Amino acid sequence: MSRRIFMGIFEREEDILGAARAVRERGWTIVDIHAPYAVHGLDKVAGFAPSRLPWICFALGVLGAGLKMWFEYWTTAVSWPINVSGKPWDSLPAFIPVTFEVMVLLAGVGTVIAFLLSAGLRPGKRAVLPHPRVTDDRFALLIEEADAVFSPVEAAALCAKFHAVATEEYEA
Amino acid sequence: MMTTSPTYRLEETADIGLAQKWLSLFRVFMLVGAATLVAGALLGGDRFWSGLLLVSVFLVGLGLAGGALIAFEYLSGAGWSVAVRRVPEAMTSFLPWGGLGVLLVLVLHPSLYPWMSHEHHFAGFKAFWLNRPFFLARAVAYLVIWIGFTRLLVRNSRQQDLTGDARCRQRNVAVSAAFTVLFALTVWLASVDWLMSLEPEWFSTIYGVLFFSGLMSSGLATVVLFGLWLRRLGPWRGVINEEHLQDLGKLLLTFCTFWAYIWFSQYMLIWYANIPEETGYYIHRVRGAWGSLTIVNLLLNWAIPFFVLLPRNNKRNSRIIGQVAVVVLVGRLLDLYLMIVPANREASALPDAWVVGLTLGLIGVAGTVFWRAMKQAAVVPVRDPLLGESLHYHQ
Amino acid sequence: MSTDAQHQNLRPPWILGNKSLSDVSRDICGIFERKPTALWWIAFLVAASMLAVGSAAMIYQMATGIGTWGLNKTVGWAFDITNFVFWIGIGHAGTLISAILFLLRQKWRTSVNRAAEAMTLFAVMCAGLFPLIHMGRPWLFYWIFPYPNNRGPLWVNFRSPLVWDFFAISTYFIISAGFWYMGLLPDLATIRDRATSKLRRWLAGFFSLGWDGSYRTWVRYESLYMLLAGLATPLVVSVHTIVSWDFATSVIPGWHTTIFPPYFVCGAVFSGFAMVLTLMLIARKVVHLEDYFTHRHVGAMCKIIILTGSLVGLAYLTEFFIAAYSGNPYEQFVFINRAFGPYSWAYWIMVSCNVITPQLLWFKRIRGNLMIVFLLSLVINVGMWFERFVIIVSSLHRDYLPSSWAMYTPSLIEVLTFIGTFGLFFSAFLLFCRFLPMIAMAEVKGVLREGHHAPAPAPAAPVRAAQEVEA
Repeated sequence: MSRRIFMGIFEREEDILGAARAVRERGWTIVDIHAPYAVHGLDKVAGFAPSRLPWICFALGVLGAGLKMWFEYWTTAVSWPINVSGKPWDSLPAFIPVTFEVMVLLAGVGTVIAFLLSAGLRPGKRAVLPHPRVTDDRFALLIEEADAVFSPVEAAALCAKFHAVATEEYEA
Repeated sequence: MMTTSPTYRLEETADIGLAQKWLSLFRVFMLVGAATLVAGALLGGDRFWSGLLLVSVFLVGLGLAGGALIAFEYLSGAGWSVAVRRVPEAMTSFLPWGGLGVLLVLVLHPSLYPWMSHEHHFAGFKAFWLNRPFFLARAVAYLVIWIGFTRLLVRNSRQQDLTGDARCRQRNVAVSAAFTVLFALTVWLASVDWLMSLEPEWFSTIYGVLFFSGLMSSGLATVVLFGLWLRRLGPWRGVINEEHLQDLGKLLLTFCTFWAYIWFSQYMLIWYANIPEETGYYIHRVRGAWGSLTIVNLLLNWAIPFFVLLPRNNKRNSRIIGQVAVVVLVGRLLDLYLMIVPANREASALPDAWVVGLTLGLIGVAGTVFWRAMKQAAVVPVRDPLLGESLHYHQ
Repeated sequence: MSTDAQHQNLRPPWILGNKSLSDVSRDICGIFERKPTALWWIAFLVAASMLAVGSAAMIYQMATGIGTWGLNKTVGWAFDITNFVFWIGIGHAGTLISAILFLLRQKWRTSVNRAAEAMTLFAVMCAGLFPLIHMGRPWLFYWIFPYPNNRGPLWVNFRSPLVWDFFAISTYFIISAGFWYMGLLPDLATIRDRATSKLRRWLAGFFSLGWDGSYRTWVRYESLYMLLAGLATPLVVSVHTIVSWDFATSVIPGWHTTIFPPYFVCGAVFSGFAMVLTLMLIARKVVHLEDYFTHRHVGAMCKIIILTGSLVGLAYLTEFFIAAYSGNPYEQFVFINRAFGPYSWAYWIMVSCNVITPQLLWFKRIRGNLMIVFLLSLVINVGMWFERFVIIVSSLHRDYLPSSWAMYTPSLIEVLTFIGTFGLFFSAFLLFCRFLPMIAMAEVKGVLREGHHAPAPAPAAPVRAAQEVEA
């Protein structure tokens, strides 16, 4: 499916913040923004939904801790109980350190994998950049042209107001 | 930048009618506390005096946490918390009241400390350290240091309201550095003196850290509660917002977890090594009714605040974070209760009327003293150069 | 965030030289896009030779057995575990800078976090070698993993602090590596998009996983970074806590003391910061990072060193005080023996390097003199090594039975192995400087505007993006 996109290129973070806010106020749709670094507050201005990774991380952490605690109890008290320096079979205080480590391991590694999957990143994937300098020093604001309220003239004026260094329309 | 007028006083900004209701409640609580104090001094036994020690140490802890929060803010150069600073400043005025309570116990009922009353055959350093005149002199010295330094910090901060002199901040950075060093030494020694020596044969090197961690979490919980109270009454409307609450919530979460870490470290090492002279301390505290209280202690001081404050939105919700703060304060009372009362092996785990009365008195004193201290200066440090950053603070 | 002028004066910029965004990419990528200097080659050859010598020693002791060490039946743990704790401690600064300072929003961390995280990885590798060798039969190391086996199945003893250690160190390494690599992603994309050589373009392209700077990805990335920081913070505390439990769960006076966990963590951060300072002060001069790693960065790090160093000093005092207070003659003997016994020289080196000389950092003038700071950082590294040596050896060598008292001296093999780990550490670090960005570009770009008021560019007439690219 092809869609027409209007793109403005900016140099400064104030400009991309201002332009994104203005675009949203006009009711246009921001397809995406490309930025060389994470601009403070841009996600809220652009109206991007917050990530759901924290929930995945929490769930994996609870799962890891629960499984490990059970496993330690099962190996030490059920499968092959051995009396080591008179410690009880269910040596709960002694099980906590490894439980904690496995919780962190599963939550951390799992969250990284979930991030890569949700962001669609994988080794060797070809990056398609809207502008060759968005990983260096340019911000690209991509606006949906299909909206009924959208007007290319107005968009060009808006971008110029926020000191855009370039604008372009293209099919994506 | 001036966003507030220099005469931003409590009386002018607060909803006085609502405030009066609260203050009369505090006054009633104070009367209950005073009545308990008189009755206890005349009739009460060990249970009354350990209760008095409990609430006094609690109050001293809040004052110390106030001082520590101010010092840490100056030393780290943090901007976000500047608007909140008047609350920890006001909390430092708890110190003389709590200190008075501790001294009352040490002077009027020394037999709470077994080494002061019966014949204890300590030799060497212990005999030198645990002897009554030196012990009392140390207690006075700690209090003088704490009250002196916190007064200095508060005075400099209030001075800046009037003069707008940037040097006030620089001076306070230096005072904070000195205070932090002395704070570490004295808080550690005071915890050994006032609490650990209740069981003079038992010792643990981490004890001072445990005391510090509880002191900080209860202090932060108090800042949250007083902050919400001031916002409710009016003076802090527009001063603290969700962003400040979120940061306070993060700190509270961190210190509760720190407390749990230190608590577990002490417990686990003593459990693991299982040396009789150490283990006695915990065996008594993990069995029977005391054992149930120990579990409740872990829930109140760590599990509940941790899991409730973990999601971002809960930290930003004033009702939730306020309730968690209450839980943490009850937890701190219980933690000190577990440190103090079971030192007497015969004591029952059930809290008695003395503790209840004294706790009401504690709330009354804290509320009244806080209000009085807040009245003495503007409700925010109006001419602190970082105030603008704090008021316009976003995560 | 307030933008008024007064506030700008209060918070001066962290990055000097009024850099533009592309200056940052050019400065940092320039370090490895140029050919290595003679100085780099000399340093690398020295480090690699140390590694070679150490490897020979390791192969020898693995073939012969750990009888080649200077241990005896009284001092059964000495040089290896000292070096293990030393290296693990060094690593902790990296995680502290990347995770804890991130959560505390200390913006100065952006100039040092990448190098410090790399240092963490290399230090953990060095540390891991010692327990591996001490196993005696390192090719059976996988026995420590609790897998179903045909020896029973006989499970590992989950009550043993050494098993905790295995889980802690391997988790720490994996999470630190993941954190470091995720932090590198945006920078790898920058390298890819400015690479002139085909190989670099392909490699950076492969490992940057298709990063295109999309803000939808940035939102998830920020969340991921925060979560990893939130996990790494308690993790780093747990790792050194568990290391301290290797000792503290025992019943040996001088080892069994409840303050060990926070005390070891503080000591680790203390030594790690000293090592970061050592490395960054050299790197600053050699590859010209003066604008990125400024006096203010050094000052901030010195303050953390004072804080953690003072806490370590307080812990020394606590141990002494409680030993005296306890009335336990064995406890008291250990501490008197430490300060005045046959290893007192080591003890006083420790005290003077860790507690006395770092007090100089209270003075602003001293913090401003980078040469002195550099020397102090070396002194702290030495002091913290001796701290572990003192704790471990002086507690063991005179135990409950005077008839079995003994002294310990490291053998040549042990010393060479230790030198070898330095070779590994510096070789790896030098290679890292040659091939990857030493400073997190995407993060520095985010704090570049702190304290600066860049003039707004003149409103440009809309031009074709293609023209802009050519310009």
